[in-house]
Amino acid sequence: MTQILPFTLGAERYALKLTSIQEVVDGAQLHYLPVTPATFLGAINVHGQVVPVVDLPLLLGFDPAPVCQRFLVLSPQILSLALAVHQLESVINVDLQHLALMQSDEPQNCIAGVVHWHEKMINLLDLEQVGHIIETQLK
Amino acid sequence: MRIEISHKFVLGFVVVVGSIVFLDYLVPVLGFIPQSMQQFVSTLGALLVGLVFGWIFSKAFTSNIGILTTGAERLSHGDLSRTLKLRKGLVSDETEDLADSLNLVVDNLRKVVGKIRTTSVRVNESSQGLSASAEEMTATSHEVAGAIEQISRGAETQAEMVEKVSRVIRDLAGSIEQITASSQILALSSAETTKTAKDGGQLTDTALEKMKLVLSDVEGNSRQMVSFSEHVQKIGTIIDVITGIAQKTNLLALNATIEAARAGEYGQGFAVVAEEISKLADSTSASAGEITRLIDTTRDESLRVHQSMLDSVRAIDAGRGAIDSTSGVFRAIIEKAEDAQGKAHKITALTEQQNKNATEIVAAIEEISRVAEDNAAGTEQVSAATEEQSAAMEELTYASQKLAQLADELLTTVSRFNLGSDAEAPA
Repeated sequence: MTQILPFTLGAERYALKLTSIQEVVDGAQLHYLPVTPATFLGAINVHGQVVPVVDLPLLLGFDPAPVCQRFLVLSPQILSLALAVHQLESVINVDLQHLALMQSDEPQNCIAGVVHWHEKMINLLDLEQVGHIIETQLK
Repeated sequence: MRIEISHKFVLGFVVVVGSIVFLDYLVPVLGFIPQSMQQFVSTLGALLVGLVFGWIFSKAFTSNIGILTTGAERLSHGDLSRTLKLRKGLVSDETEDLADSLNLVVDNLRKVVGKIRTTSVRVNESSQGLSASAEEMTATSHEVAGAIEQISRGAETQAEMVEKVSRVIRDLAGSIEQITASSQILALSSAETTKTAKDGGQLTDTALEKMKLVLSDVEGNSRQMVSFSEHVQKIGTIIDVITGIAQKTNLLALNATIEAARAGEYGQGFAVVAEEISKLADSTSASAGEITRLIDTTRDESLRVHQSMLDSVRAIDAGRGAIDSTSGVFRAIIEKAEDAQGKAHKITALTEQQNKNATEIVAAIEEISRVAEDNAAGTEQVSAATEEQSAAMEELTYASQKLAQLADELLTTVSRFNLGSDAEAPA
């Protein structure tokens, strides 16, 4: 069993494995980052480390609904980033052996797999592709 | 010289006898008459004297008697036109007295007849006038009879009218009595109205006071409601704090879960605690949300209550105004009702006076009725009297005509007397 943290982007439900998250911060002050793409909301201070905040809905092309004040700070081993999402939900336990994996010839959709939870479909976010998109934007 | 007839006869005899005796003495004295002839001559002479005297006497006597006889005959034929005139002899005698007496008789008769004639003419005229007057009077009395009949009819009509008036006045008196009764009832009703209106006024005053009490209660309630709203607001603030804490707890639990997950096997127990804390925080959050919803509902309801209290206050204010108006209306009603009561009393007094007057009028009408009946009776009597008078007038007319006829007859009778030209006055 694996613990995942679901969140919403527009009408869609996405999720991240709990192990890929370092922390969830609430109400942290956003500092403006000059000369950055519009997907960068700014930067926050997490325990003395400056972490940039990416507007995930805008980055993935969702409706620009107001984002949640809670940001997902990712594990620095994976990406030194914080993600702004539309809405956070509670942690759930899922069996990732039943994960339906996405086809590899379409890596740009940022979905690593789909989890069925109580007749709902939860997309597991592919952080590697998200990192690629951000790197592409920053170039 | 006056010698009465008897004396004349005696004187004649004496003259004749004396002449015989004288002649007896005279003839022998004369001498130229023979003795034998003397007797004869004396006798002859005596006869001659006797004849002469006798003729003179009888002549004088019979002529006067004839005149008297003629006069008496004329008188017997009613001729009073002439007086007797005797020839004047040497000596007068009783024939003149007789003539004088006859003349006196004629004179008196003439006067009397003239008087009778004049009088009978006048009587005739008067009786004709009387007849005319009597006819006029008869006509007049007929007219009077007609007029009296009219009066009689008028009196009957008057009696009927008086009866009608009497009935009308009695009806009027009845109506007036009804009015009196009605106005008394009106007075009672208006007194009751006054009382009721006063009660109503007191009730409105009481209602006004109660309304004021209610208003102050409502205002107090409103203040309490405002205070209650403030308290609810404070609870809301507290709940916000609680919600914040619950969210923070939730976040902490989430981060604890993340840490536990990162810790792997060692974080298992910690993850359970973090989940419990998260559940508690969720439960707290849910309860706080429930409380917030309740507070919102309560706030809405208290707002509505406040609004409805304001409405009530306005309505009560309006009601107070209405009751004030009602109170004024009641005062006006009391005033009017008291006024009406006074007027009703006045009406009662007036109608009582009217009732008395009507009774007097009824009495007067009855008196008039009696008088009219008396008048009718009197008129009938007058009518009868007029008829009698009319009959008397006709009799009078008849009598006056009769009188005129009698006067005519008298005139005819008297016209046998010829009075001559000096007494031809009447026509």
